[in-house]
Amino acid sequence: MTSPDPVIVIRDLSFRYPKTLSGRQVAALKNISLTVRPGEFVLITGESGSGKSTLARCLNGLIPHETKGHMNGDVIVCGMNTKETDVPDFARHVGMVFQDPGYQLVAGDVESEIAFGLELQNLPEQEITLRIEETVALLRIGHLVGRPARDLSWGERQRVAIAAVVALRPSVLVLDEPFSGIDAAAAQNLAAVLGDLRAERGTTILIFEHRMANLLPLADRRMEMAGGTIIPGTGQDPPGVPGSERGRDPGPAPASTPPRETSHGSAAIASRGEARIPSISLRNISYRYPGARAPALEGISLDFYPGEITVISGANGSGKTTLLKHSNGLLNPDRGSVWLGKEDLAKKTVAAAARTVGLLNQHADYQLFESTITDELSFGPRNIKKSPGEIETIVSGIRHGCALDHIDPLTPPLSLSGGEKQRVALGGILAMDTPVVVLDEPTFGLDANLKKQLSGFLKILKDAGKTVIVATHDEEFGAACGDRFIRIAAGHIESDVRDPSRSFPEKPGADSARGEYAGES
Amino acid sequence: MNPEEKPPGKERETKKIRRLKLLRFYPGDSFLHRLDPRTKLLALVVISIVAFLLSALSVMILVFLFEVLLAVTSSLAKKFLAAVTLVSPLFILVIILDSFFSKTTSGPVWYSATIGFLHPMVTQGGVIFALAMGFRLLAICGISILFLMTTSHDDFIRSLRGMKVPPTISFSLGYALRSTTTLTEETGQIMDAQRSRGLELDRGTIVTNRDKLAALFIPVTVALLKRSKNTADAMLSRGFRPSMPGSGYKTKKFGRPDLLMGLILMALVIVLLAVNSISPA
Repeated sequence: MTSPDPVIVIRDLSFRYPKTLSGRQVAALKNISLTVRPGEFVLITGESGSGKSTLARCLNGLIPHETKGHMNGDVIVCGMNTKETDVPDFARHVGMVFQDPGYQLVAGDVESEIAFGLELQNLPEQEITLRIEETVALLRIGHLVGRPARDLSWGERQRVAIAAVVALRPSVLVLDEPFSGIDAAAAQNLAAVLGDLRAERGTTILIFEHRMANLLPLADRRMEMAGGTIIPGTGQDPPGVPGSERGRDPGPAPASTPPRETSHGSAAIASRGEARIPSISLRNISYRYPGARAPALEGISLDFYPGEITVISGANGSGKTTLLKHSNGLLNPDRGSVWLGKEDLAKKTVAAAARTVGLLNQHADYQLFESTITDELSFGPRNIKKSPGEIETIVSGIRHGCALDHIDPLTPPLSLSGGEKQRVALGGILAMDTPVVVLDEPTFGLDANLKKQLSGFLKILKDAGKTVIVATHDEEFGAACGDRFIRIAAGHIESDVRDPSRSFPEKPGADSARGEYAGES
Repeated sequence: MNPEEKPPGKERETKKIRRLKLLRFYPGDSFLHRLDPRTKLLALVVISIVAFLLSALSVMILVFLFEVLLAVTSSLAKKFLAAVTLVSPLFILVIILDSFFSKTTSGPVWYSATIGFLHPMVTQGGVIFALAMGFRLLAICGISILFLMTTSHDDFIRSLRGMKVPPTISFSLGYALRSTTTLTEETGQIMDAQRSRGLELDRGTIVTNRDKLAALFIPVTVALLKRSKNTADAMLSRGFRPSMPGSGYKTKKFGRPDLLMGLILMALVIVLLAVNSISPA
């Protein structure tokens, strides 16, 4: 059997971004050579900043045509050199799925979204109708058709974004961190769909991702990137064999690790019978978004205690974020009340509550605006009137805790990379030194190493007697740092346990498919 | 310690943002929904021109009532009126200013003074004129709100494409329609984030809080730039070329409703011209 002509050939590819205003050179690519044959399923892993996204952007000509910088070497995809072919000409050959589906969708509903790319190819209306039907079936998104785009969850938007590029029947599909915004059940589902796609169409699939438990069985090859190069020898790894992946599996393994060992945690559990004062109590709260049919939260009562890390999980749209927004008054319950110790939250403004509760919102890198990291970190403490001396001590501690001490504190936060921005945003909340710390999806964009660092830092906060509440879809992270595990489904508490294996389903997708991709097995 | 107690005067700022979210497309199958977006654009232009050229109070009120009627037929009356209240501060301001400093002064004088170089004077004719200016504002905003609420931006883009408008312009206009929601959402998220960091926005007014606005404006601008860059890249990757319009899918075509709307518009203009000529200047 002769091997067919390769669909992607990368020869000695190097890329440098222009220097930022502050003189920092952001991660780039160095001497990458790679060949991919048609129908291959290639997984490219690597830490934040290793050059994954940059390499992905080289595959349809976004680099060099749309991104400033200097490129050397050749990238030939489907027989076309990216230097000579414009980005739109690659649309029929390379389907690009970016990390944030929100940026990728341009239409008002699912049907128009899929039609968008087809219209641009000047296809006649019957052909477009046909392609839409075919794609909807292949991607299993029949239940989304007819719904307005703004009502879709992250995972659903992503599925639509994939459908929109698959409709063009590209021979190559490139996905940049497709798992970063979805939970285990949705990830399992997505992996299955990608498997179908390859089986039915023979599509070559390249995935740039650091969560990979679901992908290993499908991947023909796994490569690892670091510092802008592919680590030699990693491309040959046969799928499924290396034992190194076992530890990443969200199965029962984590149950035997950290939660039990922390002495403070167990002490806290032991003293539970005594009269402990909760730092936050939600008393029978219900909330419905204006105009929504179903309530987002219904009859939730929860007490959170100092010296404990509570992990809140649940499918996208189950009410995690809504619940957290009640902790500092960003949302006020329709019924029920929220108490911070002995104070009724309803009597405080959000800014006043911020002295007690530090809440890190989802996609927190939005909030950065100061001209230096130091100013950014001290913005919160200044608002709640901490003294300059106090602020200085806190800020230097935070810079270390959030792995920012290698960056000049006078760097503008907006010039940092995604993962670094996320850490500055996190630091900005932790710097307020509040007794209660609430984090909504803090691991977004962090790689395995940084997640480990974050969970260590959260334990330090816990040992300092703080109440830590974390909402996450990342089971591995949750299981590694939590003491208590609450699972929410459709606005109700589904479980509230101290054993992670009982909160996170052992087989992802076994019982948590509700909500996001309901009706599929 | 009543758990049912209502939060006192909180979420004020977020409520404003939430009301802005009313300004979006509502899917439906009413008369207005079925119109070709171009017909609606024509109605928008015609009504705006009429409202600008004529000045009788009765004309403005008639135009506004016509819009309310259209909203009722699209079963959007409640949302339409709620959205119109967004311009109420401006409406009141226009009426007050025009009452005191009216171009037309006629009828009985109710108030007159000299304050420095200003000579405010309230007359019966002036007040009627001021009311007309207020309703002119409502009439023009109203028709735009109706357009926004009943036109999906996908249809809008496709219609413009049919009119041979260059893709860059048609797409930008259409995408701007869609962005009203994304932008208010993003602004709301940023406000939430900064309030969580202790920035007091629930107390005080926009004047006393002015030095806090940098914490909102910078992130909003950054988010906007980031969104436009990323969306542009995604569109290029999906085959968007500024020079090529592409084919249409389910493009709305001129039909009987459009003819009907054209006749209604003509009748409306004739009636308004007649009303304007008989109403006192």
